[in-house]
Amino acid sequence: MLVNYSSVWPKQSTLAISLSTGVMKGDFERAVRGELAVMYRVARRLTNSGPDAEDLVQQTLLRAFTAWDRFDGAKLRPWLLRILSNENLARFRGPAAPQQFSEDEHDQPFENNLWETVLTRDQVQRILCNLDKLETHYKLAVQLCDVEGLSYEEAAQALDVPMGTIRSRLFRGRAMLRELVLNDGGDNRE
Amino acid sequence: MGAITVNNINWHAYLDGSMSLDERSMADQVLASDPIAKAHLSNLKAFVAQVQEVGLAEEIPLTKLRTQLSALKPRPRFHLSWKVAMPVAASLAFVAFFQLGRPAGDAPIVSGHINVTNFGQASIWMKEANGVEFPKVELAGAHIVASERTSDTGCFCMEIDGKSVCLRFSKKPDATKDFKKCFVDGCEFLEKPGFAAFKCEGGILWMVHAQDQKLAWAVARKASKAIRSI
Repeated sequence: MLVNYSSVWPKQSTLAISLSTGVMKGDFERAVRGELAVMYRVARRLTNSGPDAEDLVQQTLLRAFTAWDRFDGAKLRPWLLRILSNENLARFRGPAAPQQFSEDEHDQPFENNLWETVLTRDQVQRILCNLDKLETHYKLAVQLCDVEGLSYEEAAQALDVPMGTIRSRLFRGRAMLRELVLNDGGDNRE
Repeated sequence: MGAITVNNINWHAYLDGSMSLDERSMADQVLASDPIAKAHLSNLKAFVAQVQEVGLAEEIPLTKLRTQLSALKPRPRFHLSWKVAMPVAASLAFVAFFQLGRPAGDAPIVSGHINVTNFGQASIWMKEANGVEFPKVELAGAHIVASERTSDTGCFCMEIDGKSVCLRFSKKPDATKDFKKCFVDGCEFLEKPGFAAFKCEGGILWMVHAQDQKLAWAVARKASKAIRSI
């Protein structure tokens, strides 16, 4: 008979989880249930595909569940969105994508184009299609701040970038989105 | 510097309230006097509202997502409280000793258990498997009751004045996230109730467990000193 002494040593910092997995699972489910819609919408923006977004949300839920004991309880939404964003990167990890932004991107001036033209109802309906055409950084900023209503601070936490970067991306993203919507002849309706 | 006009005001910043008081005051002046500026801001607001409205109206497979969430299952993990584990482990170790008959010191394996009270014998047996020289803990009344080895871990369980203590090393990064750092004798130690640990050369983590925290510390300090002198 062998005695596995090593089984009594704390191999992972999960002893607390193992003591109360039932309670923890209930807590997690209750807390995250209200965030599913936001997670899906952001995943949808990141993946440009409904089925891929579902997979990404599922993967994020698994990851968040295993890390639940390390969540500080402060801001759930940015925490989940950060995991989601990291999971999305992990799905496509390979050769690094060319960096589109300089480090001081938030210091760069942006074009303050005028906004007199009111969008027609038809154009409003095409906002989502055109949002998906934006580069990921811009569409995420628009999605998080304008659609989901996250503060700059929360969006910055979710994407792990400085607040100035979020602002810059948001302003540019809005301007580019509007430009796309105005110039869209409706040929990309789904 | 030219006059402030609708074109050189950051209306996004105005909208999100991140302008300085001076900038905002200037923007308000422009808004009061320039109907184009007013229309501009109003259109920007409308655009942001439209983006939100359309974005939130997107269809979401909520039922499916909720089912996925409910289906999440924790990976089963074995947990045994220390109060139960130590006496059980000690008893089983002695049973193992009688069943094995003799220490498996010559066996060509890199994992196994022996029960010997001779430190030197246990130490050689340990080094064969993982190359790590175990420190001899010079505490009165200390004697080894069981040992365990693998190619990258090793553990000596001792009894000191009737109390069980285990000293274990691991070449793998064991989780010590919930341990507190502290400095003793100028060396960095890690501590949590029931445990005292320290790292040494090669990133090897040494960890002591005892129900008596003072005893855990005494063994950890002795072991740390002994390792540094090896």
